[in-house]
Amino acid sequence: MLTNYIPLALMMMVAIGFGVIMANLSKWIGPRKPSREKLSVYESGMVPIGTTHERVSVKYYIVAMLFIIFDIEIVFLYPWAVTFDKIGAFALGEMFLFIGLLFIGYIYVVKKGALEWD
Amino acid sequence: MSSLSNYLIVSAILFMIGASGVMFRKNVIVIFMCVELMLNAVNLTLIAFSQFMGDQSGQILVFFVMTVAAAEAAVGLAIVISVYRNKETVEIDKLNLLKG
Amino acid sequence: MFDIIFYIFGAITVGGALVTAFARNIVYAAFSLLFTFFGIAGLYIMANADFLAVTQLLVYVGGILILLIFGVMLTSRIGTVDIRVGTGSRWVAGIMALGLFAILCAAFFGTAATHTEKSADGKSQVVTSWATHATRPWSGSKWNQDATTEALKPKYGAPDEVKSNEGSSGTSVEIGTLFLTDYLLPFEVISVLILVSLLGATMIARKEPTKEEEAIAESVSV
Repeated sequence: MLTNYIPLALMMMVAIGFGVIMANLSKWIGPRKPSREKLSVYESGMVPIGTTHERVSVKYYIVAMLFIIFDIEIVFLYPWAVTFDKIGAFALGEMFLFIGLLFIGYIYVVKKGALEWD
Repeated sequence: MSSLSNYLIVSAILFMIGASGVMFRKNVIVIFMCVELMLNAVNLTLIAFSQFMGDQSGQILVFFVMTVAAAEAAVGLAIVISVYRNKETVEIDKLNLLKG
Repeated sequence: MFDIIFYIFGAITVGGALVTAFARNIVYAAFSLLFTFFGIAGLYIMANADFLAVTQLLVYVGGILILLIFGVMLTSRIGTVDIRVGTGSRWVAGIMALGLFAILCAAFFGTAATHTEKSADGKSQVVTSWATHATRPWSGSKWNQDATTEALKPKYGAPDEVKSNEGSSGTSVEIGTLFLTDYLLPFEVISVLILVSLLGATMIARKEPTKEEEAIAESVSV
């Protein structure tokens, strides 16, 4: 029933409110005297080079992609885990097959060097 | 209170927005997002009918649709990125190498 | 109350979808997709599919959306104006989208749906109803009864039984049981699908070809 989710809704409201308030509190109550020096980009004292709109490396994409694939695997583990005690060894075997197949893929990815950062 | 028809209307609107996005836009990644919208619309229909009929199989189907969507996103975006590396563009009008 | 929450989630979903489909800035489109996914997760919860709502957040928000945002960052210069298709085909596309909407509505509301219903004497019977006139509330007793007040009724007996009440365990048990019984083959086949997409995406998105592969490519092209 929907009333079960009231704590969840409250928590989300508190989280969003906290985020918004904390991010803006200094803006709202702090005195502001902007000057040219203050508004310039602070990069540890160095003059920044290039634009901020750099493209990210494809390495990040590969990691994100591997993440989503194994994310799916984890999602499949949840319903398996809650019914495991009902079904027993058969369920265990099935899940070993499932994870085993994905493990083959994982070995391939590691051998291919997709997880090496450099 | 007719919940089913509410769900179906939201789902139809979502599907329409997704389909028009696929037709309107030129950027492959936005088209991708619109395809995800359409998949979500279908999932919503499945969930609504699953709830309406009291049959949990619809939820299993949604589960599979989500998995396929994730696999599709991984491979599809990999293709988009490799195309971008070769052609320096993701506008579908300019990807016309196979055009006669 | 139910209706109000439904409309809020529906508005979030549709509004996010509109921005996704029609925003000029791709980054806005990607981020408004987040609201759409959240709204849909809310709608799932309202349709008593709590496990799928969590899955929606995990897979779509935590996975696919991140991947899409990476895709945006990898392929576009931020601030690029996205030019849409020409005005002529825009009309055609709009008409086609509206026609699709009409067809979908006609299909949804012109189709009879059957469901099983327990009659007063305990027998279950198949009832046919039209989605338009579906005045019947959501199936199952879970939806309309407050799970907590129901659980506190003395007929449930010992507290252990109350704990194992379906309202608290959600749909994950049912889904898991179905996975390991009726849908066992799809469950295993989906692992093959994930394996293939893992291999394929790694192959395609790999950084640079190795030296051997370059040599092979050269020998092939010569």
